[in-house]
Amino acid sequence: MSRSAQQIQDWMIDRLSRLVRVAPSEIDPRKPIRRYGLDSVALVTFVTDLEKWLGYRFHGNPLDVLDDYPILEALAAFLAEQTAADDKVTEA
Amino acid sequence: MTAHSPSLHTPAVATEQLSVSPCPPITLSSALPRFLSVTVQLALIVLTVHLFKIEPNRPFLALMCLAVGGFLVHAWLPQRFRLAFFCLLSLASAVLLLGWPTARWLLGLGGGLITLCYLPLPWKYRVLLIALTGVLLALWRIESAQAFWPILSSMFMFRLLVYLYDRRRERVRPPLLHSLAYFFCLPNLCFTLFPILDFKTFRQTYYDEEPYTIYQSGVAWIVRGLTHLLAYRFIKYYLLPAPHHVTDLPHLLLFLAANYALYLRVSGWFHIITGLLHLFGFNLPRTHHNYFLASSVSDVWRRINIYWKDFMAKLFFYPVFFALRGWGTRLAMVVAALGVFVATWLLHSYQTFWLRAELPLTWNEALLWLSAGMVMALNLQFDLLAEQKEKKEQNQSNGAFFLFREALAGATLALRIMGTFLLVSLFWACWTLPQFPSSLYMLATSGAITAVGVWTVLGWVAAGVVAGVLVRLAQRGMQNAECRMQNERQGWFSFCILHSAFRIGKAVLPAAVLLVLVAAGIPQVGVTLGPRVAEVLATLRLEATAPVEAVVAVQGYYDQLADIPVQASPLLGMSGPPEQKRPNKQQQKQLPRAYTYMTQPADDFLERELIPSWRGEILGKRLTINRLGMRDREDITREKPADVCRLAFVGTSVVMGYGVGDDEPFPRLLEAHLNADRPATQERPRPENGRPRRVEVLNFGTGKSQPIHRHTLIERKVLAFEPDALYYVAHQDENEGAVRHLTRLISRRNELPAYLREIVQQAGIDPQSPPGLVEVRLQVFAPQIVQGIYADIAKRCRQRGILPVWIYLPMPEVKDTTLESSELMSLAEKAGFVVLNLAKWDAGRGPEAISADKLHPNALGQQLIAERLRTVLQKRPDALPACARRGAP
Repeated sequence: MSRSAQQIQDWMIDRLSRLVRVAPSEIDPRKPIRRYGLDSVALVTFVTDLEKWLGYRFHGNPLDVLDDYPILEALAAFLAEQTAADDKVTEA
Repeated sequence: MTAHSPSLHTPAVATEQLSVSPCPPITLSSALPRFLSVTVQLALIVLTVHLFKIEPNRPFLALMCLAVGGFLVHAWLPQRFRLAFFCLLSLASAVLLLGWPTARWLLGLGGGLITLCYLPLPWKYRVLLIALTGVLLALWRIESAQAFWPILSSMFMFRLLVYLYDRRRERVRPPLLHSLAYFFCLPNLCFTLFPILDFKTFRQTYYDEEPYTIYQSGVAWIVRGLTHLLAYRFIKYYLLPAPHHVTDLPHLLLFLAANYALYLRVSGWFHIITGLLHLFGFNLPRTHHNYFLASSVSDVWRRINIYWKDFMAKLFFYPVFFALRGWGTRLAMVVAALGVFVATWLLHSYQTFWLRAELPLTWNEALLWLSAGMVMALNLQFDLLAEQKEKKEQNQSNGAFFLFREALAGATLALRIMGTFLLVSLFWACWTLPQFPSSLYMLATSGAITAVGVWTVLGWVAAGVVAGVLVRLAQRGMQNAECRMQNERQGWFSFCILHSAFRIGKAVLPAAVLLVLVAAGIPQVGVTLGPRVAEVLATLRLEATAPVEAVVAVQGYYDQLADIPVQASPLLGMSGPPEQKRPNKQQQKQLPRAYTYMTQPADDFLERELIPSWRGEILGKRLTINRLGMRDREDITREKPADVCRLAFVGTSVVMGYGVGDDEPFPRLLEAHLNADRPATQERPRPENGRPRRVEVLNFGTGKSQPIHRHTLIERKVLAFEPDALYYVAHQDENEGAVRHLTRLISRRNELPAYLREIVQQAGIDPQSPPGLVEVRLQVFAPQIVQGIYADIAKRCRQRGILPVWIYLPMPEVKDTTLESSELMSLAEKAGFVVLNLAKWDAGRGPEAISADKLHPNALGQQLIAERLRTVLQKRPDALPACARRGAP
């Protein structure tokens, strides 16, 4: 089941806020994700949880995607597009 | 669902901020006060560096002046010119700070490497080409000790890896200016131990905030760095226990903690480096984050040398983890963590190779790093578990239970911090002091751990726990007060005031710290605060010219790398290490070992003495020690023959003739000259009046000889040979050797002879003083120490009718020291010596022509010394005893 960019963004803000222990309102979707000081364990947890929730598996090193889409908003849009495209392929 | 390669899609957002981030326009009126504020703070920083002589052995003050001067121009340039200006400043500074001979190699080879990165070839071919170039450079590095190597290595050895990694998926080549700024960045010209800048971060953070916020942040980092460096000095001089004091548990723990705390020097440098880069718009993240307060092993890894952690995570941890996560998150994490620590071990050796041309790979270290990796892997499992747990809402009630819970949390955290600190200190000691585990075992089994010691340590732990509880309660109290202020309308105003005060305080704090530092750096200010404070401040203003004995004992990986000299340009008037041909491998092995073979341990005053009747080959030349323990002929007798005029030479391995044959040391050659100058008397049988018919020159030279050794040797041995004249041969480093030796004598609680006792009393030193402090204090008294030794030698000689002669023999490879040659000669003269100056004995020949190895003259060098001495003696008959003068009956 594909999810909208907004849903993905909300989920990511919620998860990120819990991982870095700040209020969700303090997470700015227009700022680079790495600016929130995620350590390696938190980053790995974030990525694996995101994959589980989306039912989507990154190819290779997911951090390359984070390099291409460093801000939450852009990453959410990319993932929404990917999951929707995958759903179409599956339905076909 | 299927997997998609992200590289196939066009990114929705620009990933590279190739041009500078847009900044709000700054008007002259708004910028000027802030510019002046930053400038004044930078001036105070330069003053502090000058007053405290921060890093005096490298061109740090000059670098700061260049950086501040550059900032004054850079800040007013239109933004599009700033990066070009920074590159120009860095390249010009390379020439100015290092001198053209070094800079041309640095810029040439560095430029070549960057060019390879820009070749229009597929990424993997460029990597292959650079790897091949790296192998060729490594082969060159093995044989070359030229001055450009440490800096070139520091610029490229890691950053090139990050740079290539970041460019593996590039669609657009980075502008050349970005690459030049990244590799040749200004602070690297002074610091060879450098944080591994991430290329992506370096570019993305360039002017990503309002400029003056970045500049002010840079000032704050530099100030923090300076405080770290001064704290390092304080620990080195005042807290680090002397090795002989580590006899019980409290001192052991203090030693461990102080040893680990010496890392402040590295964090201080890194803060200064990133602070300087902030001044040119690079808003880099912090390199260290309160690492002494880490509460777990993984927490240390995240707080100490963060750039290293990020580098390892980027190039090793994440690629390995994501490649293996099919095995399950936990197993993949364990393997990735272990891989990171193995790579850390190997890369530290890789770093040492490029910086020092040594490759220290030992199984002990491998085991140590692998153990650390296993502890980390275990810790990461707990961290993973903790991250996966939902964080429960905390009860914010103010009841007794809340207080108890907070107190418990504070106590637990304090215990965790102390435990982590101890664990890391132990790791640090094992890493930096290979002999530490065996010393620890000996200490543990020798009854050093007593009940008193255990109770003392438990007292410290209790104090730490109490402090942890108080801090936790204070933090919670402040948080609650803030919440109340925010919630209550009437408190909102107070809340705003509190926050404004905090913001202003943050801006004012660096300036306030700088003012205090500058005041503390002015000697007159210290005097007004009392003698004790004045003394501490005076000590902090000193950087011992040589590593303090005690610190040498605890110096490890970082200190070795930190002490790599940076050759300063002759324009700066600093004496850098001379470019020299490295002795070949066999010679390198021979030098320290051979001297150990031919000598035996003696007491603390003599330390080592030549083994009587030792024979061997050094640097391909025969070296014989006679039965009396002298590098001289076998037929020498202690009793002076009646027909002999005896001249005794005392000095270093140069006098001993290390690296030349038995007949080639200059005292032997001089003897031949002197006797040749007396043909009439030589032919003549010994007359009735007792005048000698020949001159005998005795060689009492020994290796690793310093003034106190020589004094001891003269007193115990030389005088028994009844010489007619004593020739004391000195080089440039007289004062340093004396200070270090005296420090050792004091730290080993030797009963000092009268001539040294008085000076030690004057310096206010007692046997309890830490060696670091002793050496620093004695540095001030170096001239008095040397003169005391000289005066005693001269007095003893005169009492026995021996002519004392002091010979200044400057060696090309010995660095000039704090005492000028003229001062040394003046000291010797005042002490009662006849002084001879053999400067320019090498007659303008280069070190290649006259050196057997990097320190010792070859046969030609010895011959030149002998000839120069003969010429000087011919002009100065007062430097010969009457029995040896030309034409003596």
